[in-house]
This record gives sequence, structure tokens and C-alpha cells, in this order.
Amino acid sequence: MTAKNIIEQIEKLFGRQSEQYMFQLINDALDDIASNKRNYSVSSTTNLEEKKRWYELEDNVIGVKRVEILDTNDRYVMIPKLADAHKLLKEDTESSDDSLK
Amino acid sequence: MATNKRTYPNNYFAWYNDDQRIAIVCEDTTSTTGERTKEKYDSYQGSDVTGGLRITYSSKYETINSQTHDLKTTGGLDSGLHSAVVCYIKSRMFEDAGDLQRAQYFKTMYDKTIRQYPSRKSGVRALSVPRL
Repeated sequence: MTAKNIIEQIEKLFGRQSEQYMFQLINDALDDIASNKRNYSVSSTTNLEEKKRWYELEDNVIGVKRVEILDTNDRYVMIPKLADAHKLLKEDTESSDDSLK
Repeated sequence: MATNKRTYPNNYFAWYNDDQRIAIVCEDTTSTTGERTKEKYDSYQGSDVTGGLRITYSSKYETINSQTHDLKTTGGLDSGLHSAVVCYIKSRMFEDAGDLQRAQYFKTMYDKTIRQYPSRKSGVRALSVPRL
């Protein structure tokens, strides 16, 4: 279904509407569905950098599902999540600030 | 050596995150005197790797800003959920018009569509327990 189809359905009931208002509502709906369903998965790659602890997440990220590292055979291998990083790294200042990068 | 750690990344690397960032740590197997941290994990100490990190995440859908944009191909929304978008918009518009009864009706329709639509397309969704 295209945005035009949706706008036509809405205009049948409510009459002529501003196009920008329609796009705003469509995108609001998409954001609401995304936060509820979380079924749109995207992968992105970035460089693994020396002595860099923190990597910024893009604005469109709702939740991280999987993290992989490129191994020496050029294959991506999934790595585990530290569930208790705050305990495991409690004396490590880098776990809470940007002291390295 | 860092290169060896990348031979078996799942044995050495781990990740955690806060709201804005993701942290990549690597098991610290060195014991250099005067080292800044003595924790089990430290930042990755090896050389830079182009494209060395892949993050898979649940994402917001792509933005729709043209009438020709398709919710499936452009937005990434499964076609089974397209009717939910219409219900959401109708609900919002009736709400704006002050017709809360109709707004609630379409909100319920929207919630029902969202709730009933399967969120996984692969694997078993529930345990299959035989009736005894």
C-alpha cells in the first residue's frame, strides 16, 4: 500500500487534508508500530577501532539484537552480551565515561 | 595478542550498552605493571579493522515523505500491518475532532491488529505440548 492509497482512504472519510499532516500521521503510526512490534531488523557495520570503548548508536535504533566481530577468517562471529557490566567493570572508569574516546 | 583474540571473537569479546551507545570490550589477558585497569575486560587493544563490527538491531521504519512511497518497499512495514496504519490515523483524526467514541473504536482496532500480527516469521513460536 502506498502513502497515496492511505491518504485516499482517509480523505474519503474526512475530506481533503494537508499532505504534510498526512505524512506526519503515517510516520507517527510507523514509529508506534515499530516500538510495539520491534520486527524490523537492520544491520550496520562500522570499523572496530583500537582503544575505542563506546560506539554511538543511530537515532533509529530501538534495541540491539546482535553484535558480531569480524574474525581473522573474514566471517562475522556473534559475541556475548555482558548482562552485569556495572558489576564486572565497577572499578573501570571507562565503563561509565568517555576517557578513551 | 589481539590478533589471536579475533580468531575466536566469542571467547574474548563482549558488549554492553546504555541508551545512546554500545560498548565493545575484550578480555584482558595481559598483566602489565602499572596498568590502568585490572578488570577482566578492557577496551580492544588490537589494530583497527575496517568493517570489523556489525550490529543488528530492531529499528524504526523508514520515513514516508512522498505519495509514491510504498509502506512495504520504502518503509519496511509488513503488508499485513498496513491496515493498522489506517486505523491509527483514523483514531488520531477522530481524537483531534473531539469524537472520542470513534477514536476509541479505531484505537481498539489498531491495537487488535498489532497484537494479533505474528512478530516472528521463523522458528517455533510456542512449545507444542500434546494433550494427554
